[in-house]
Amino acid sequence: MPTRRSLRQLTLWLALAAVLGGVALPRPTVAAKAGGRLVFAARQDIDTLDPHVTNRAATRKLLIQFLDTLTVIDPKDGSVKPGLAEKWDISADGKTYTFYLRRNVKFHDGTPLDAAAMKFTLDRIQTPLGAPGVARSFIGPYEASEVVDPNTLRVRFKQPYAPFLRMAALSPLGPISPAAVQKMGDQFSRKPVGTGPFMVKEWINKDQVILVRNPAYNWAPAVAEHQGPAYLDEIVWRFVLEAPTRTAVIQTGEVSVAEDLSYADVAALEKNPDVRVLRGVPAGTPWTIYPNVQRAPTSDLAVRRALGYAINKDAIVRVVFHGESKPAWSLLQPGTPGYAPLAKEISPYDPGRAKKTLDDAGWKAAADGIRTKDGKRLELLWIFGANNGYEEMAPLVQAMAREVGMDIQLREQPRAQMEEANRKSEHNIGEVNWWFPDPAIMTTNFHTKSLFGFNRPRLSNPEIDQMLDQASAMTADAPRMELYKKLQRTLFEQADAYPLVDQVTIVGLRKEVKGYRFNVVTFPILYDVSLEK
Amino acid sequence: MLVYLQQRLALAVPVVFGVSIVVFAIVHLLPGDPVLVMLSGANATPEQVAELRAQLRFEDPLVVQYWRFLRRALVGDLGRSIFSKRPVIEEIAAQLPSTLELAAAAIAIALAVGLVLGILAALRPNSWIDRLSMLVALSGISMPSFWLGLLLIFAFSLELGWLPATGQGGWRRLILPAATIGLNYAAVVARLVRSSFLEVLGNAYIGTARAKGLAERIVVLKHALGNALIPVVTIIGVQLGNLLAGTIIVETVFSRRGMGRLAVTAVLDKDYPLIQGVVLVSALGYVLVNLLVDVSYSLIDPRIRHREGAA
Repeated sequence: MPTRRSLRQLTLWLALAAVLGGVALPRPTVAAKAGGRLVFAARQDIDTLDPHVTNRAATRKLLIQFLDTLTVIDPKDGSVKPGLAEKWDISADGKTYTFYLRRNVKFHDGTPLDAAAMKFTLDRIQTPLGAPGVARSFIGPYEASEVVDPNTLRVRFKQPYAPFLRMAALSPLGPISPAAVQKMGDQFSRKPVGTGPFMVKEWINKDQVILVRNPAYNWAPAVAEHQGPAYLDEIVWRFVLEAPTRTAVIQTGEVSVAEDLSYADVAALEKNPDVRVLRGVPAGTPWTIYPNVQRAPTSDLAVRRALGYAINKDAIVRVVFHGESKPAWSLLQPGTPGYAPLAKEISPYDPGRAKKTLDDAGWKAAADGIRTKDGKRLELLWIFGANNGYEEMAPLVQAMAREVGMDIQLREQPRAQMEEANRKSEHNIGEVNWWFPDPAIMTTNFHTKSLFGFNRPRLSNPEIDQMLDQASAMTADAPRMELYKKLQRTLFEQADAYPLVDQVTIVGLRKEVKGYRFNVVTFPILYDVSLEK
Repeated sequence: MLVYLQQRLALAVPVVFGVSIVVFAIVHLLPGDPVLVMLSGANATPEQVAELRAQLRFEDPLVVQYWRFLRRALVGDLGRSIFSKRPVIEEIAAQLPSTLELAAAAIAIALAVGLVLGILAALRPNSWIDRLSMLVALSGISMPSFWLGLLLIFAFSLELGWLPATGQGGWRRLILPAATIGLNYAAVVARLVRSSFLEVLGNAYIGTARAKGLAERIVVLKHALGNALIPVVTIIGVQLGNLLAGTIIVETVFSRRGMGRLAVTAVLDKDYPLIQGVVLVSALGYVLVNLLVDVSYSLIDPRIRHREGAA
């Protein structure tokens, strides 16, 4: 029976481990036992189980349980390790990747995994399957695959595509059984067939997905904690959409794991001896807001810089995140390659400097405290998405901006409408954050070609485009990351983005759950999990 | 009686038709584009958006789209969900039983609690039992179901550990969500039963029954109850819409599957065919229940039946 003090020490240690390495748990000291049924309380419903159609992270958390991938990202240090591909070569021009596949791997339906199945998978992503899913973005400028021999696959891209080794570790690019796709037709999206440690048994809409152990599994990647089949017999993945309900069911023991707990509930849960709270820092981008550089008054560099100086990130961490996270100073999350906390020096919290910057630029305070210039009030419109995670931060930032004479107006809209307004450039401030293992996510946020997508600052800057393109094409890691750092410096100097707070994933576990780990974007790895009574 | 039923059924047709037009119009006139929702997680190009819109035939004029929808709906084909690609009918069929179960249990709880509280209050007006009953009723009406649901979870799952907080299957998982809706509803029933009962108890025939020396139990249950029930039955029918709305919140809080969850997802995703299907089926259900209510009047009170027969 652990004492409360040792529990707290353990928690602290875990938090530290999570922050430093993205790893959450030490290796189990007691031999893990096979068997048991784990109930997982998930925050979000899924859209489909077809890896090539899905657009939701909620679905990808399930995909990683029943799909394997060519490469694997080691959650300990973010490095790329072999998965279903034992090794690979990259051509000098960065356009051709040759993968040497592991032998004796079988899909859940008995079909052997070979280069032809892998080619089938990658080709299928390019075919219209209704809406293009995230798989289409992950596969980048894909051209074609070629079966060299049954265990060798050559993948060609139209342009050099450096992020691909990390993309190949993402479940939407994991191989699926060609035989099952042909046989099942429409039903494939309800019961897809991969090579992973668990198999989909049933998906009951709006309720749960049931996964069972794959008894034949014998090809775990080297980064796993054990080899052979998974320990758990069954996973019941239940959709428990309300945070207070998730907090309740992890305490009653109705579920073994509850994800995305409310920050406000953490302190109380940590007092419960039956529950452990785990924190992880996902790779990707922090909670970030972006000024629209194409729309007045955020088209004025002085206004953009002043807003940066006005934001007190420590206060946001304290009030909104109950101290559970840290102020963000990079455009990437800690632990993501290319992480560079440059904003700390370029755009620190300094309301005095904010006021001076605005004074110097001719924005003079009027009677109501809001500044004006040439008869125009310093009014900024922030269109924020309903349930997008920014709704509590927005009024805080609004109050901070008012301190230096800016009037931020807040307009809440359903997310789809927010996207539309952003694409029409109706906002002064936009918001977006990602879970993503590669700094190439910056292309999504800042490239001219993303103006129709998620380019919130509405940037169309040839210098930045060129740096982004060059970085996407560089296969050597070190100079590539240097370029991403340079990019961030440029973006911060032009005040094109304000990272606010690092994203943190908070999960509650019953004390019998052992071996729970986060992957690089803090999705749960359940393969190594066991239940010890 | 049969003619009466036929007339009522014939009236239901324009109602459902009208609902279908209103829903279709609202869904399409609201801002927001389902294609953009579908693509919201992807970094799509304008070409992909156009391609998808053409594929879903959203470029046709609204009248054409409505006509297509109506023609198919008449033969029971509500189309396919644009997200899951499954037939809307199947999506609804998968969720409806759970909601019906919840609604039935909620009504049962509402009636049981509401009748007992209401009758007790009416039999001893202005006594402590009356005041207590009406206080309970007042709290039932005032408490939002979202809050009441969490409160019940806190009390019965977390503190007492008697009942599971979430999930599906078995009466134990049904009690808390049904009580959340039912108690809210019981409050309305209790207040109504009380006033209706007080009115009925003042009637001459109750005095007659008592004068005949009948036991109070028989006076109350046989002579008064039936007559006091008419407004209760009406209110249950009328409030059914509220009850269905209540399931939306309750299904989310207790993470049950059901029509409420389906409706919310459909609206958030702007899944046109699914929204239309859900609303159409709900409207049909509403019309049917009101029909049942009308029919049940005549079962409870023969005078209504006879009046219809005479006319």
